[in-house]
Amino acid sequence: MDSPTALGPQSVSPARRLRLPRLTNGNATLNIGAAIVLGSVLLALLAPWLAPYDPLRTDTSALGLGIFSPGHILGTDEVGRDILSRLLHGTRLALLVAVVPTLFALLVGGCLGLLAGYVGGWVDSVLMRVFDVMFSFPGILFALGIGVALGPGLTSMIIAMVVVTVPEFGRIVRGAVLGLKQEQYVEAARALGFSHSRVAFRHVTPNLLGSTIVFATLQTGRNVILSSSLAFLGLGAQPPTPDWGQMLSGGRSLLLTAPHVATIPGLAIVVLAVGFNLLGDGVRDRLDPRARRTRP
Amino acid sequence: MSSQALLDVERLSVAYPGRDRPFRTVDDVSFRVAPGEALGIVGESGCGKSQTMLAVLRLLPSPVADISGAIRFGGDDLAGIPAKRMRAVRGSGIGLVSQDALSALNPAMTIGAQMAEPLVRYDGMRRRAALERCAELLDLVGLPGARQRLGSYPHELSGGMRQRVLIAMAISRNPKVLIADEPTTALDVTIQAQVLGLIDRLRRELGMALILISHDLGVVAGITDRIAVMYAGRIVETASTTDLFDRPRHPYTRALLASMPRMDEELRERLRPIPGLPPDLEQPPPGCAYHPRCLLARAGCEQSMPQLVRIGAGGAPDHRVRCPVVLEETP
Amino acid sequence: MLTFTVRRALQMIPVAFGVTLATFLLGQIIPGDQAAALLGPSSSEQERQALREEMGLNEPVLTQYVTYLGNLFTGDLGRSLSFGRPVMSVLAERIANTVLLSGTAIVVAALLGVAIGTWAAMKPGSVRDRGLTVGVLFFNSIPSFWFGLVLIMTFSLGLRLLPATGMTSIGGGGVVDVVAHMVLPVITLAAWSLAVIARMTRSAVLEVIGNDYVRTARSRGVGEMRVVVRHVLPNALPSVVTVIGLQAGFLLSGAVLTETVFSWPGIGLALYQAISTRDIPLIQGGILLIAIGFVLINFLVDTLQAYFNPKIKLA
Repeated sequence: MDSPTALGPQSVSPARRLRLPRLTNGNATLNIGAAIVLGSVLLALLAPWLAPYDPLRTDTSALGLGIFSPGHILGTDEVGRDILSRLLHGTRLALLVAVVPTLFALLVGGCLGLLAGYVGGWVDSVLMRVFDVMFSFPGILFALGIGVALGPGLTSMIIAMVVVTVPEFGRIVRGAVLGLKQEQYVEAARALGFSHSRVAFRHVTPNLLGSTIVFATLQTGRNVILSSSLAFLGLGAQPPTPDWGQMLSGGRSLLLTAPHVATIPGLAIVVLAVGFNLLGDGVRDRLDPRARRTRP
Repeated sequence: MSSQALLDVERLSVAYPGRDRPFRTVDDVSFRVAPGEALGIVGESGCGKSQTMLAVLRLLPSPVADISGAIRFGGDDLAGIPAKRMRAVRGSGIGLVSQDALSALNPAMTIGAQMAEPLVRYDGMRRRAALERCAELLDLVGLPGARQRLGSYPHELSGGMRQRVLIAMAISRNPKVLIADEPTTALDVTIQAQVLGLIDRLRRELGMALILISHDLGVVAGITDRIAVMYAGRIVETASTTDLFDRPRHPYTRALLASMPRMDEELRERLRPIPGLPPDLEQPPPGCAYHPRCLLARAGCEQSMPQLVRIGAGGAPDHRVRCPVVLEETP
Repeated sequence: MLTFTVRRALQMIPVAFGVTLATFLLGQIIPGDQAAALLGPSSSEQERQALREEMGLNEPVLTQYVTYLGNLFTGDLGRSLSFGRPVMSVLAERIANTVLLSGTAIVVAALLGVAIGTWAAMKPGSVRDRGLTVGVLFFNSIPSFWFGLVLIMTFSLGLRLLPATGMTSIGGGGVVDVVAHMVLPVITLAAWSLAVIARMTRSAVLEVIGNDYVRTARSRGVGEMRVVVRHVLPNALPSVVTVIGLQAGFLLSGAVLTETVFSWPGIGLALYQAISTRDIPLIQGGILLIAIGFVLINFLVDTLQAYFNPKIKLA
C-alpha cells in the first residue's frame, strides 16, 4: 500500500495527468455541458429541416437497415422508419419531458418549501410528514403508479414526474430558507418592519436561486433518465410518436440482427443526461468556488 | 551538541502548488535536538511551525506537499527511508501530542482500544498486558480513575483529561523525542500550567527530548533549553532560552516579547501589540518577509532575504539571527 | 439503543398508513369503472352492479379504505385480473426472486462501492480518483434498461458468454444456472448504485481522513491500511450506510426495469405485465409491497446508524 505521506516528487506525473480530462475542474465542465444542452435545443428546433425523412413514414422495403445504408445514415428501425429522422424529432420530446416536469416541480415544490420554511409551525410539520410519506415510495415506482392510474400518455407521465419530484424541491428550498432565516440581513429586514411577503420574496428568494438552479439542472438530467424509463415501460408518449425510450424499446426485437436500432437512441439519452449533469456541476462550481479548491 | 544530535533537521522546505506558482510554508529550516534537550519553536499561527513538525513525521498530505531537505534521526534520513521504516519511527522514535485533544482522539473508539492499538499490533504485546500498560500510563499522566477510563469514549472526558490521554498515548511506545504541538492552547489557564508541568516532568523522568511548539513565548519559557522563533516559514532567531529572553536581537522577537505580559518584571510600559498581519504565504513581500511590519526597517530590507547569521564569539552559546540591521548594533 | 429502536419503529406506523392510503387512492383515481374492467365489455349492467355491490364500490370512500386496510391485515390484496389468482399468491411466488436479485445487487454495489470510493479517496486528485469521477458521471447518466441491453448484446449475443434471459424457475437448473443467469442483471442493477455509493464513500472518507485523530493514529506508527480500516471507515460509514439504505430501496424499484429487460421472474416483471394489461390490483399490491420494503430498509438503516454511533449507543 502506498503511503499517502510519501516524500519526494509528486507521484502523479504531468504526462499521466493528461490522459483523463479534468471533468470536475474549471470551466470545461460548464462549457461541455452547455454545448450539449444548447446543441440539443438547436437540433430540436431545426428537426423538421434537418431530418431527411418524415419520422413517421414506414418503408416495408427497408426494415432494420444498418448504419451507413444508402439514404439512411443511421439505418432504419423495425418497421422501416428512418432512425436519424426519428432521433432528431425525438429530441423535442426528450427535452420537453426533461424540462417541463422540472419547471412545474420547481414552481410547486419551491412554493411549498418557502411556505414550510418561512411560516414554520404546524404548516411545516404537516408538509414534512406528507413529503416523508412521498419519499417512502421509490421515485420510479411512484411515478409508475401515478402514470398507470391516470392512463398512459404524455400528460399523465409529466404529472407523475412532477408529483414524484416536488418533495425534493420542497426540502431543498425549505432547508435553504431555514438557513437563511438565521442570517442577519433577513433579521434586519424584519426588524425594519417589512411585511412577511416582502421579506419572503425580496430578501429570501434571490438567495435561494443559486442552490435551486443547480438542483433543478441536475434534476433535469435525472428526468431524462426517468422519462425514458417510463417510456420504455410504455407509459409515455404513445406510438408512433418519435420518443427515444419508445425507440429503444422497439429495437429490442432486433437485438440480434440490428443492434443499432436499440443502441443509438440509448446513446442519445446518455449524451443528453451527461449534458445536463455537466451543466449542473459546472454551475455549482461557478457559484461555489470553494467546492473546487482542495488545499491542505 | 553538534555531534550527538538526536534529531538533525537540515534545510527543510515544504512547498505547495499555489494558484499561480508554488509557495512555501516551511523555508530552509534547520535545527538540532540533543538527547534529553528541550527545544521550543515559537511563532504566530501560520508561520510554519506545525508544518515543520508534520514534515519531520512525514504526515503532510502527499503528493500535494513537496518536501526537500534532510531529516536525520537515529542514523537514518527520514526524508528518504521507505514508508514501512518510517512507520516504525512514528510513535516509537518520535511521539506527537497535537493541540485539540477532542478532535485528536477517535470518537468511535474507547480510550483503551485506541491507546493499546499499536502496542498490540506492532510491539507484540498481548491485549491484556497492553491494557495493563495503558492503565499505568494513564496513572503516570495523572488521570483520575485511570483503569475505569479505558472503557470510556473521548466525549465522556473533559478537555484537560483528554489532553492527558493524548500525552499518555504519545509516550506509550517510549519515543526518544516528544513533539508537543500547542498542547495547552485549547485548555483553561489553570489546566494549562498543570499540563505543561506534566510534560516537563515526563521529559525528565523518561529522558526524552522535547520539541514544544507554541504561539506563546510564555508557554515555552519555563521548560525549554533553546528556542527557535519562526516567521513566515523561516527561523528568524535561535538562541538558548535565557539568551533569547535576556538579549533578544531580531526585531520580531523583540516585538513578541514586548507584546507579552511578564510576571518577573515590573510593568514599566504598556504592552505593545505587533502592527499589521503576517504575510500571505502565497504572495510574500520581497526581501525580508518581516520588513512591512518591522520598526527597524530601512532601505534595502525589501531587496533580499537576509541569511541566518551566527552572532557572538565562538565560545558563547549558539545564537543566530536573520537580520543585518541588528547585526550592526554593538552588543 | 433499545429505546431508540422502539422510538424509530413507532415512527414507521404513520408512514406505513400513508403508504397504504397512497396505494388505495391509486385505485380510486383510475378513470373508468373497475367492475366493467374486471368483467369485460360483454358483461351486462346487472352483473356489473352486482360485482360493485360485492366489492363494496358503492360504499363511501372512507368505508372502502377501512375495508381495504382490513383486507391488508389478513393478507388479502385483491384478485389479479391478468393472472386470475389472488394478488398475494402471484407476488408471494415472485418475491424471493426479486429479493435474491436486488439483495445480491445491493451487496455487490455496497462492497465494491465502499472499496472503490475508499481507494480513490486515499489518493485525491490521482488518475484513479478522477477516473471515479468520470465513471460516476457516466453511470449517473445511463438508463439502466439500456445498459442491460448493451450487456446482453455484448456478452450474450456477441461473445455468447452468459445467458440473457430464460430464467424461468429458480433452482431448476442448479446453482450454476442461477448464478449464470444472475450475472448480467446484477451488474445492470448494481452499476448505478455502485457509482453513487462510491462517490459518497469517497467524500465521506476524504472528510474523515483529514481529521486530527487519523493523524494521531499515524503519528503512533499505525499502518496506512489499518488506519483506513480501523479509524477512517468506522467514522465514514454511518453517512455511507444511509446512502446504501436509500439505494437498496431504489434497487428494489429499479428491478422493474431490470427484470423486464432480462425477463427475470420477479415482482418487477409482474408489474410490467400488469401495466400493459392495466391489472390495477396487481399494480397496487406490487407497489405496496415494494414501498413497505423500502420503509423497512430505512428503519434498518437508521438502527444500524445508531449502532455505529457510540453517543446513541449509550442512550
